[in-house]
This record gives sequence, structure tokens and C-alpha cells, in this order.
Amino acid sequence: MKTKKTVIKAEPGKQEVFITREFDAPRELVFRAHTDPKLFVRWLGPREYTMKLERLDAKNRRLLSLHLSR
Amino acid sequence: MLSTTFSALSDPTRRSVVDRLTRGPATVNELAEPFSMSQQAISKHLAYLERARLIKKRREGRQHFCSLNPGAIREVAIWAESYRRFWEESYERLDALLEEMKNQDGPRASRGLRKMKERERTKAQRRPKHL
Repeated sequence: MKTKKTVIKAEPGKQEVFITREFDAPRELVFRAHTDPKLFVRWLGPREYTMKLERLDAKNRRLLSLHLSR
Repeated sequence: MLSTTFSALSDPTRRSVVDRLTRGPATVNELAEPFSMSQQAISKHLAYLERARLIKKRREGRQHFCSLNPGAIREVAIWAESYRRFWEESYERLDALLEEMKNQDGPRASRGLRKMKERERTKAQRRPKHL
């Protein structure tokens, strides 16, 4: 499998951080993994924490109530 | 510690001084040259960088030499690296999850759908026509 490098770009004077990464999957699945709270908590976050996400508002690009526990 | 470093690096003049010093030590005059600033103003910036331990000053005769102190920069790099690792680790888990999803949505899902349709067909066939 080829290496997929994560590129993190922050432009000076801007608040956003742009992360670029390639995935070997159809884009609908990548999208679902980012918008379905149940799937989202399965991959995002530091390894040593368990994440609990109550609401994810993908349309308004807002992530609501996120709990981290050891 | 990191706060002092970032606060010192929050100024464009100080950042370009740090940039210049990555290419080797320089005198205060040399550092002041590219800027339309008084020596006094530059000295203030240098003192700020020195307090943040980003640069070191050394006196040789009447000249002041400045050089980079790599320790503080390394702390910034380590801090930034931890964020890169956070994303990389997360994305590796996402890779695994996507593989799982691909398998579920792929052959198995369509087979399930086919079976369901077959069941519905046989049910419809068994149902008497006049009902």
C-alpha cells in the first residue's frame, strides 16, 4: 500500500488549518465517516481517550458536545 | 515556556530576525540592516528574543554577536509535531474503518439486498392472485 501523507497547512493571518489526506475508499464512505457521530468517534481523537459525541452538525460545520474520557 | 516563545515569535520583525539567524550568527548591525528601524528598536526586539531564549548574545570586543538557540525552536517543533501525530494516528484508524465499511457496503450488502428481494418475490408468488 502506498503511503498517504497527511499535509497540514496553516496560512499566515488566517484562523483555518487545512488538512489534506488521501483515502483509499469511495468518497461517500469518507463523508459518512465524518458525518455519522457513531462512526466519527471510532477514528478521531487521541489513542488514550474514548470519545463520546452527542451531536454532530455537519451541515453547519459545527460539532456539538464532545466528551473525552480515559 | 511555550507562551513566551510564541509571544516572541508573534512579531514579524522578530520572526525574520530568527529566520536570518538560521543561516548563522550575525552582529546587531547586520540584523538591523534589512529593517528601516532604529538600532534601539532592533535592540528591543533582540532583548525580547533573548528573554524567550530563542537567541543568545555574545560579546566579542566591541561587537555583539547574536546566534540562534535551537532548544526553544525545538520545543515549538515538538509541540507542533504532537498535533501532526494526532491527525496521522486518527487517519490510520479511519483507514481501517473505511476498509470495514467498504466490506459491509460491498459484496455482502448487495448479496443481502438480493436475498431480501428473492424472499419478497417468493412470498408474492405464494400469495393467491385474487387477494
